[in-house]
Amino acid sequence: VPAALLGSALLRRPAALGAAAARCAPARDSHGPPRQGHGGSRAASLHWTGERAVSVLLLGLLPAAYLCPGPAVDYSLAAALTLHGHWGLGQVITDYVHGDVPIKVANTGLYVLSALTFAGLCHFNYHDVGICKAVAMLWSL
Amino acid sequence: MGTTAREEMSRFWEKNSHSNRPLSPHITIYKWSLPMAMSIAHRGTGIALSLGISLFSVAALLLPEHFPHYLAQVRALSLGPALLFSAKFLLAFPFSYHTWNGVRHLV
Repeated sequence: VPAALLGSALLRRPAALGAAAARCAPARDSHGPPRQGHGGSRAASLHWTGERAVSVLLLGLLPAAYLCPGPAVDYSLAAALTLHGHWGLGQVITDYVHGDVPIKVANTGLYVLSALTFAGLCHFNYHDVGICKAVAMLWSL
Repeated sequence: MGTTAREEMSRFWEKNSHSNRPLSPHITIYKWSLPMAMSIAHRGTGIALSLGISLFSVAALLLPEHFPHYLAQVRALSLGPALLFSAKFLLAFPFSYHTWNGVRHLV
């Protein structure tokens, strides 16, 4: 509900501004990047785009892992998996955790978990067989 | 120009959390639909996969031996093919579901 409130509030204002501007200065043309709302930041939209980009990258890494296993794919997988999971769990926290302190605690915990996960995966890639090889070996059981 | 959206949001939450109103039944009464079920399954598999990877990573950091050692231990257990297949299925199914449903979200 708060998200819907924010969304409709953002939508109402540009419409009102646009109508007012058209009446006051009808000869003005509007080139340039589209305004995204009264005093809002682009952070959320960029975050969303980033999420999609990492998802696509991760998807591409799957056939890569099968066809050319090796350190490049191993480390890319470690990074993409960790980031995708971090952002995904972040959305879950945003949806279900309420209150300033619980939100802060949960997000801090998430950062710690993601940092550990990335560290562990890199450690595995460096000191052990690596992600691609490990999956292949596991499946050969 | 009146209140900002952020002010309106915090006023809403302050008023409603202080009044201790009961939560109206939602998931207990609403009829399940396929989109609902698929969405929560996507979230559930995502959480499970993420936690699984984190568990694997922390194990990689803490356990003394290397991966082939532990794999050999599992192999030595001589588990039946049915059990091995089931275990692989339990790993592969959430992964596949989340991946393909994820593609559905991307397109």
